[in-house]
Amino acid sequence: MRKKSEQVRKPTTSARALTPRKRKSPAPERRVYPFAAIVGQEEMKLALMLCAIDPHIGGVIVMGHRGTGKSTAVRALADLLPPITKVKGCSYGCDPERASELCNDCRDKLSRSRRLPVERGAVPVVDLPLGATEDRVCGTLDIERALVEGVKAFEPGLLAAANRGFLYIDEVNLLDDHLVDVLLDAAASGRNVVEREGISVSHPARFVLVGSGNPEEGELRPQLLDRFGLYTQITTINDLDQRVEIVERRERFERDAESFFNDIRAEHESLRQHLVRASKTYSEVQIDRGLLRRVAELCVALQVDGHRGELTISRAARALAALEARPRVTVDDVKRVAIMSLRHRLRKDPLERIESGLRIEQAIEAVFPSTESGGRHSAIG
Amino acid sequence: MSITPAFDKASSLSPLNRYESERRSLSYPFAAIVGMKAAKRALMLLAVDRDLRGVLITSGAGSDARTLARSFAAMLAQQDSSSSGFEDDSSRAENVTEAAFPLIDLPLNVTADRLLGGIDLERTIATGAKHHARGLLAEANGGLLFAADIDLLDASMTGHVAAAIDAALVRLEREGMSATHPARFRFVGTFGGEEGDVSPRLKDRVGIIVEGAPENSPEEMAEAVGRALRFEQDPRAFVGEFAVETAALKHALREARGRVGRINPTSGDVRRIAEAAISLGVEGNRVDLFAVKAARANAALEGRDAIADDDIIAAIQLVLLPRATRVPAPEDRNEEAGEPSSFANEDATRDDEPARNDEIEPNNNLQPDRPGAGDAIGRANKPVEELVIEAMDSPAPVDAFAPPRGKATSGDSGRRSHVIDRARGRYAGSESRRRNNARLALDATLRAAAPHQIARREKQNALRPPCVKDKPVRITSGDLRFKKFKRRSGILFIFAVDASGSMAVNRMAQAKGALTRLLQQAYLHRDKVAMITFRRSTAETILAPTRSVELAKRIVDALPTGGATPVAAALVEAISLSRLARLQGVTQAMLLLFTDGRANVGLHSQRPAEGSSSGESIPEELNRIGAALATERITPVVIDTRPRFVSTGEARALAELIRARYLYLPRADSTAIYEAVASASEGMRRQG
Repeated sequence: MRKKSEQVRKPTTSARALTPRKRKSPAPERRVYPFAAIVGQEEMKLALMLCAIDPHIGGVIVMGHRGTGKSTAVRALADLLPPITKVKGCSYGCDPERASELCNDCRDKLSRSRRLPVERGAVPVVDLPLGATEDRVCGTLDIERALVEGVKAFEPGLLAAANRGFLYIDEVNLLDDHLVDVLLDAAASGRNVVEREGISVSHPARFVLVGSGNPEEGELRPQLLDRFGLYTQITTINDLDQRVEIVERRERFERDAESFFNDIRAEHESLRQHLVRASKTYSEVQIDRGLLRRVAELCVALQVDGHRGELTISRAARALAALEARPRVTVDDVKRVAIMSLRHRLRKDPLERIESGLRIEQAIEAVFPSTESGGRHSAIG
Repeated sequence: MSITPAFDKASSLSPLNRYESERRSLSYPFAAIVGMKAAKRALMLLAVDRDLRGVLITSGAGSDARTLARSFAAMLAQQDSSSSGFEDDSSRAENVTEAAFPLIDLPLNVTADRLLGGIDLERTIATGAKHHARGLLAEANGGLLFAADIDLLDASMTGHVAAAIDAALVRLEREGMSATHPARFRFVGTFGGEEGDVSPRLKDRVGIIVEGAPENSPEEMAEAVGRALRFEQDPRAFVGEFAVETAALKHALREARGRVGRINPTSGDVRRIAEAAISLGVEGNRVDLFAVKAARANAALEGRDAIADDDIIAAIQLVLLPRATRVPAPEDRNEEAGEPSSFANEDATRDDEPARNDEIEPNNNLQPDRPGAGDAIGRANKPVEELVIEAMDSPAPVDAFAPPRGKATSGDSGRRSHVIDRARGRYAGSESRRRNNARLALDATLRAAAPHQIARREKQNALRPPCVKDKPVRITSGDLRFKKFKRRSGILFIFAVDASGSMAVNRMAQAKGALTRLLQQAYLHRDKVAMITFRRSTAETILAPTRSVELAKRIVDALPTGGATPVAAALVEAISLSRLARLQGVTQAMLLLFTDGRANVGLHSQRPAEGSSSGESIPEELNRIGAALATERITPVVIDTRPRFVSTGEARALAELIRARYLYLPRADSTAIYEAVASASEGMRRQG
């Protein structure tokens, strides 16, 4: 029997119609489970939102039990984020406002026509499946054009698609080493450099890395771990009411996604507004020198190597203040983001788990005694 | 209904398809399978609700799970290709042409490109446009993916299958290809249970995990063999023989599918399921959802319009118990005693068991549908604890292959049989005596029956009216032979750490280091580790037998130290641990005693160096316990890490007393200890 074959959707958006193709619709578009409807798991939700506000925080890794809503949350986040402005027809979704970060194509176009055509589009959230091959991650020679036109053209890969958005890797601890290397390179430089099959390309690849996994299935390479700004842990919810709520919401969603979404629409919209406002204002949020000093003290007390600890804490704290509409970072903001910013940066005793939350808490208590801050605020007003 | 419903449509199909449907209609009828009630129930639930995603069946060597899964697939294929549009399938409309129901059999040697799809080189070169071939996961869309022995499948392939089950999609990012295909299929997998474990990822993604061991009586076994032979001889006639049952089953399935959408689980139902999940320590909230769906599907299959206690019990058995990490408290206490007397009790229960199964229901062993019958029964809303206990006690299928458990738990098979579960491991010969859970050895049974065939045929021919067809082989229950299994089981390493005296902190760190190292190898050998500390007058288990590195690392390094050294108490604790471990199938244990050897508290004495109240001196007591260690098949090793100049030989003396190996490892680090232990255990492994 003949294998069934079908044509493939090109990831490039260039208007080439070499062969008339009937594009089979990919998966039927389904509504994703809304972020606002996720029960519990506050640390993970907060971390994801902070990274959406300030991509420089450097991504989130969510480790924990299976079946606790890790992937659900990441997919839901994509749906929550407001659309962004992109250069029309650009494979990398370049930001027309930032001339310095344009790709070569856009730069050429700009010098020729002085204006770039723009369009609005969703923030990309690109899934990196475990079975992905390196050529699809980095991009490679466009076989079709090579065959038909005899030209060496570059076909952008997942890193290109993830530019200005999120790159999500489920089971990140099981990712092949050579893919990890590629990711590390791109995440560090914000660019993807391809030198293969006679192709030589460099293009912007700024993305927020989001990883999830179950620590019982494998350890994460330290270099990769270090790339993630925030580390959150997630466990099975054992509160009976919440557990019932999870099942009931999910059942309602599966029965009628549309009406479920309508019920939660107000919350969804308000969350989105908060995010929109926060990503506009976070750059204006002030953080005192005095407070920064104490953040540094905290990192010294915990013997955190390098400066990534302080940087992440102050960025995350600013994003948090922005999310909750405060003009300046409070001690409380710092305390709320410190654990997730430092958890994976403590020096490891080979026998100790990364579960160093307790140690950090003690250090926080020493540097920021609890008497001086007010009560905890909820994530959203 | 006609005998083979697929034929109704066959006239309009191409010759190839007609052949295909004929072949399918001639697979062994699902309705004709004897026993394996739990597995059949599980598959029916999956047939009712596709959102249960999949069923994993433990099969052990030569079990019928494969036949079961294949006949299920065939039944579903007929049902789904002959009845149209009962399922919500938007994806199906576009991708599944004709009435074909894809039935994909996943080979163990499948490659990533065949599984996920990849570039179709031939067509791409020929046409100049990129073409790709769909993989098996995408081809299974709308149908069923069957994988036998999935534990033997390459781990990364299993990962892809798990991901596709979860997302109902295949994301292809390979070899210059980027595509997404719907892959919404039902998954049925069988696995050996012992040869290797199924990836936890896959276990997490399927709704139901069930034991495929037939808990059949000898008569049922004979019936099963008879049916198998009849089918082999004349499949068409055999299928016809079960046409009525098959039709009834299909009818029940259709009814249940219509009904399931109308059953709304109440808050109370969900709450009780969630409570049960919490009490069993089930990890992950996704499982709750599966349990609710299973309860609903079960209710639909029973012809109820609401979820009843029985449905929740079924959900607990099929979804929650296989993933339990603990049992509810009352059970624990019972086990802790660990005394032989309690085993005796359990034996008694066990003996009652087959009696219940004895009646054969040759033709209708599923009792699929008696509308309304279930309504009155069991809607009593019993408290959750009762449901959980009921679920564990009923003769159900739940097995102890789950992750580490605190105590000897497991549903029913583990708790009841204090002998080794015979139904696992490698098939190594046969015996006529039937032990618990033994599986039929078909080859040996046939050999045993062969010499009697002529005599039996003559005897029967005299009685047989001419219209009844002759049976090809006559088997009586005396012919039955059962498989003996040789099982590759791991070793339980019990670390007993002396927390008395000043060096206790060091010993603790060394022991923990070695323990962690051992655990990294544990998966390979199916070993488990446990840790006991002892000081003052008692010994305490601080880590129950486990394979989880996660758990082991949670042991606190800094335990209270100092005080006297109750070596005897530690040994007794080790014995009770290894007894519990034996319930879970670990047959050998190695006791690693980290101590300086100054045993100075007896079992029953409060003050040091006084001897026990029974007048036995401490050395006498230790000597007696040492003998007990040997009968319990525990290999003791005394590990002495004191520098030579302070060592007084007490540890060596202790080792002699309890007939232990003595390892002197002065100032050893955890690696050295690990290596010593690993090499010491080599010998045990070879024996086992």
